[in-house]
Amino acid sequence: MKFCVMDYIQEKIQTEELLNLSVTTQKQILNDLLKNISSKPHALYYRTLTSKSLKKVSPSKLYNNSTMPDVSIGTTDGSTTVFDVLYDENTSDIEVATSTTEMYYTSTEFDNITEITFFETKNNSSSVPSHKPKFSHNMPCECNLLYKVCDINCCCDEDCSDTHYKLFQCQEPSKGDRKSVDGCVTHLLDEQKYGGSMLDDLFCIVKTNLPSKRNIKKASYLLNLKRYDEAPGVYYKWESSFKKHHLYEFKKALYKRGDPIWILKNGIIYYLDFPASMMNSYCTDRVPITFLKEEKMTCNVKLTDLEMFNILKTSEEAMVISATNNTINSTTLNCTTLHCINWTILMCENGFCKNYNKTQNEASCTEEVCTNIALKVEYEFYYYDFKIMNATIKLHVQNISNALPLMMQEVRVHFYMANKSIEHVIELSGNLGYINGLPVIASYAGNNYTEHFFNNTSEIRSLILPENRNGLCVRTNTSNNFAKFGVNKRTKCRYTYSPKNKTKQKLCNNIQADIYKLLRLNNNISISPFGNPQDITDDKWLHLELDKHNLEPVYGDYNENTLKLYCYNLINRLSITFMYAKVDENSHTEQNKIVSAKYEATMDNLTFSSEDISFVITIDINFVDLSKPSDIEYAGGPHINIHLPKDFFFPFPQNSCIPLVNTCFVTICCYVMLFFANKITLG
Amino acid sequence: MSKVTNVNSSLAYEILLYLNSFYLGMFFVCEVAMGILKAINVSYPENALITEAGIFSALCLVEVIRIFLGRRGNLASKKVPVFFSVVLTIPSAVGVCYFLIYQTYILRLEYIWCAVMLMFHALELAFAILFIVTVCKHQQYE
Repeated sequence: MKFCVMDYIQEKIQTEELLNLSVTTQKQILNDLLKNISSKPHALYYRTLTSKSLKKVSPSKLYNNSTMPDVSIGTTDGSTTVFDVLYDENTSDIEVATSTTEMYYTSTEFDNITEITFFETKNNSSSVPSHKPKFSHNMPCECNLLYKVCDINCCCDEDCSDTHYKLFQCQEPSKGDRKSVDGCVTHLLDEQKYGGSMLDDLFCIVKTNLPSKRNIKKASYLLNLKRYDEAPGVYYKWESSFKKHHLYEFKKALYKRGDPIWILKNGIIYYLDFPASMMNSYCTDRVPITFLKEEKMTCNVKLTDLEMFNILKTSEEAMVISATNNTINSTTLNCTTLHCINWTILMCENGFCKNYNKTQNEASCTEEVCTNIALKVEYEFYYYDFKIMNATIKLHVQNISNALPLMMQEVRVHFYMANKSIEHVIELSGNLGYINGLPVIASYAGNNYTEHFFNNTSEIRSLILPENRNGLCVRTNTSNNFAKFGVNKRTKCRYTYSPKNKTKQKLCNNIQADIYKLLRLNNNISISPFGNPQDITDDKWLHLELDKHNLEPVYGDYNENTLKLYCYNLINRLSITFMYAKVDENSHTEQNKIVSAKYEATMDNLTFSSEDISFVITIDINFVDLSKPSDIEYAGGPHINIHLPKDFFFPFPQNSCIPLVNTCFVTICCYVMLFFANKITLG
Repeated sequence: MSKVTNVNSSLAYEILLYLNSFYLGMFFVCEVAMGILKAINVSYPENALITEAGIFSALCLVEVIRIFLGRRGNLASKKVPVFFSVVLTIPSAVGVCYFLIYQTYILRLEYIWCAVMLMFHALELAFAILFIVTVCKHQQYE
């Protein structure tokens, strides 16, 4: 059925006329297109892979057409309209919405050069999930996002060993876990005997109204306590927190989930902590960094109390330690019996990290500005072979004003089950479908895109856009301005052209060529339809290519008198529109597939002075959800077009000579039927 | 002044009550069997099983009275028993709703048969009201 719908869409698209660039027409075209989809959206919604078949399908098979919807929309209609809506100067930046996608725009324009993140769709599943049951290996594993590296707390990751699963506290699937598969909390009948049968389905408990668990004994014990400290919350007093922290004790055992990270400082063992907010948004508290617990904390702090200063001091004095098998029996605790590692400190700027050099990179302040201040600190711990093998601190430095009394700092803690840096690990953007907020996978290779993606030598795996650095457009391979799935974004920056020769001939063409280079429009870019491109053949990748043949030719004119350069049809706005559809499979939610990717460029006639050839370039990334119908439409009633003869229900001719007899006959029949009906019912 | 009444019995109402009487029997047997099965297989919180058994017994009793009154009133063309039958529909429907929504463990099968029971209630209520209206309209006085 889904293929029929898509064929229908394709047919509709092919019959469309050539692109009409008027806004209203394009809106109409998009609406028509989406109406056609929404009127029959069931191919996208009601995908009938039952829980039973799900258990049988292998992950590789799920890429096939039979399991993942092969939704393909190959024209520009929708994207053009979105593009036009975005670039309609009369359209408010705040109220840009199509019938398919809700868009919220907030902009903080600065000197006409801005980088705006329009809106971020809800990211429910990109964070590392907490405890999950160990799934059967033939199910798609949503949390397995690191290629050939064990993802922490991912109990279905085949890269993890049983030891890892023990650390994650994975559990075998129990009856209680079946809710996610067939909507049943548990089944009353024996699963082995009746499993999968209709009887099993009927005897499933779909809902429980059990009361929440209460520890009554504990409550009565608390009530018997007399001191407030022993029972906070029982007495009507302000809670004091000086006894809040647990007293951790180094047990000389291997790390297990929830243990604090230990550091050795001057022969004494401490636990590592990081700033946290207690009651408000200020960093007034510190909490321990616990093993395998990913953290993200943002809180306000004074310049002098920034975490970067604390961690730089700690890294000089202390080492991260791990207990080994020898530690348990030893009485002395030093680096001979413990596994000690020094900190690796990296200084990151604009997405590029390098080793921290105290003499060169030390934070310093003048009267106005402070340089090399890290408002974002990342702790990365690499756990391998039962030990923490590497502890890295990434200081994301920037320059800030000295006048700021308080600033918001962000501290993140990551754990990796690898002995190599995460920079050398291939990260997937979903498994199988895309997850919101993760990079859109792109390949710049000519062919064998999947192989290139999984090739370690390949550097660029996402759709990188020019970056706005101090208002100017900069093209780098290490840019952190890349397309993230589900995140609509506008980047504005000023493009400056520096002519290599002074000749004015073909200057406009040279500018255009330079813009092509900046925007990577000369590259053959292919987009992976899924967040995990494994087993995807080249023909399934989506080609992102600008149709240069449809663009107006660039030409220019230099006026010697006014010293002005007039360029016609220069590209100054580029839109990349991704159309995607949700391909959720029962319990596997937030699975998205990109079905179409399209460039759209608009050109403008620009005038430059001979000394300053610069203009503002706008790059938009838009995601349009095709699986959402534009509006709710209810199915109409069935229409049966049958032409019955006039006397079908009363087959007695009007001109009959005995109409009275016929009438009497019908009446008698009715009375007889009613008589027998009454006789039967009333005995 | 003596009252003369016509025969105003509703056939549809009678059919519904007749079927409902059999359905109630099946509902009773199945629900008891299901209760036993649940008591064996799953653990109940303190007193929950007894509470549910009590509610179920009350429900069955109310249902029997309701159907009896309904049939008696309908066949005798008397509106008072039917009126009480209508009144008893309320606690009966509440009881069924309890088993549909609030009992400790709700099975898919119970969803089905409680829904059918509620359907009976709704239809019977409608026909009972129609019956009362009809009886009131057709009352004749000498």
